[in-house]
Amino acid sequence: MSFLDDLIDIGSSALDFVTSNSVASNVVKTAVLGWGVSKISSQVNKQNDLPPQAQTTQPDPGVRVQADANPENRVPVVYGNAWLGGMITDAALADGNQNLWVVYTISEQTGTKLSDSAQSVITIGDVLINDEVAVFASTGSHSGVQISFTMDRDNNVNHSLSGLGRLYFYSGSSAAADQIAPEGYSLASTAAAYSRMPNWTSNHTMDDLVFCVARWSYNREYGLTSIPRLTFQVRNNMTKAGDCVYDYMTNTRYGAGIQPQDIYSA
Amino acid sequence: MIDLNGYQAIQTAQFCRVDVPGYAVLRFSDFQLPYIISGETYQPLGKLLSMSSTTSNLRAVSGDMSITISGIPNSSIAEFLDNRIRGSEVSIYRGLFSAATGQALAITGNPFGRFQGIVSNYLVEEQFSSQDQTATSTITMQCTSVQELLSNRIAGRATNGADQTRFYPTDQSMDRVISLTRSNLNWGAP
Repeated sequence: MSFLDDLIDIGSSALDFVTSNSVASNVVKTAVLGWGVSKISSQVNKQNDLPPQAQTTQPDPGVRVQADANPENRVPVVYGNAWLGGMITDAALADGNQNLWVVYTISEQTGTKLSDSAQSVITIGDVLINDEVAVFASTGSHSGVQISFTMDRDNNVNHSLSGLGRLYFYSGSSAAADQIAPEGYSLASTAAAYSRMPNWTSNHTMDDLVFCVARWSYNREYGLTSIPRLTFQVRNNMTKAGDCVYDYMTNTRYGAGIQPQDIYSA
Repeated sequence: MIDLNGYQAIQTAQFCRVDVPGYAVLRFSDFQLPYIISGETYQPLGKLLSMSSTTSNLRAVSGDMSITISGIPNSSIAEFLDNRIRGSEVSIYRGLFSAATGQALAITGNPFGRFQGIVSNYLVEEQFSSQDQTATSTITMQCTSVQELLSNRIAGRATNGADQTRFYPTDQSMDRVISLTRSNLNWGAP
């Protein structure tokens, strides 16, 4: 018998030992399995230890968002003071899909006040973004439109939206003259909504509506990957009961449409 | 409340004004003479005109009313049918006259408004005379009061292109709402 036969005998008996169901055999199998996993893991770790320029980075694929638009939403009418959630009526991507423009329709523009024959004026007070009060830039070219930070109910400051959102408010139409700033702020400049909103033209007039054109900049690091939920404090200076009832009775768009001459209003 | 104690007998007449869009303003009454109200002459139809009764209420109530005009020659029926009778505004007044002189009573507000509404439906009936081989027709207009119209009215605009262009025909601001409800936006995609 040669030494080769001895080697075959040893290998054969080792194989028999491993394939058997004895306790010792199972211990050996587990050890071998653990060693294999350890080797695979170390190979992966070696790849991760490569310098950054040698690694293959996956680009951020972005997110697929759906604008919550509903053609059956009805535009509300506000007299006095009310909190309203805007209704999304348009959305578009721009700047290589990095900026999402969203139009939030807020309320109807009301008519002329009976008491002083002046056109009613609707302004925007506070704005809640995901239930936190928005604080806008007070200086610079984006004064009154760019979000500086938000604050929760306990006045904790949240900077995650800082510089990532801009809100342009309009009251009455999409013309530049109808752009308004939230109360307490002033605008550095105004422009027509159709010159901001992608794909809009001068035929996008948004007549007799109060609305907000928002620009949201995608940022995964700060969690801006979905369309924020906005709530607007809407203030109408038409507050007298007689003015409100008369407006609602006579308005042909959202009211009863009664002819003014049929109402004794003296 | 009108005080009629000073009159032994009075006569009433009803005056009907129907504004048919794109056609004409029809003015007629069951009075025996032409009569002018607010500068408009109401043609006398006498017995050919009848109106359903109404009830008097202290406050405005909703209700329907029918106006029947008889003796219309067949040649005029086509003219009636060709126009937009349904939806026409209807105003009915009641005038009080002296039975002795036929003159309107000197009462403030006379003739009084009785009904305001629109024509909600109409019915054309034909009576054929076999003796002289002629036919005349009767038109009945069903009118709905303004009060009932207001209680059924749904005002305001919804956020869609059709509603927006109904009020502002050239505005395209809400044309994309319906397509947005089914579309995804790949925000941040490279």
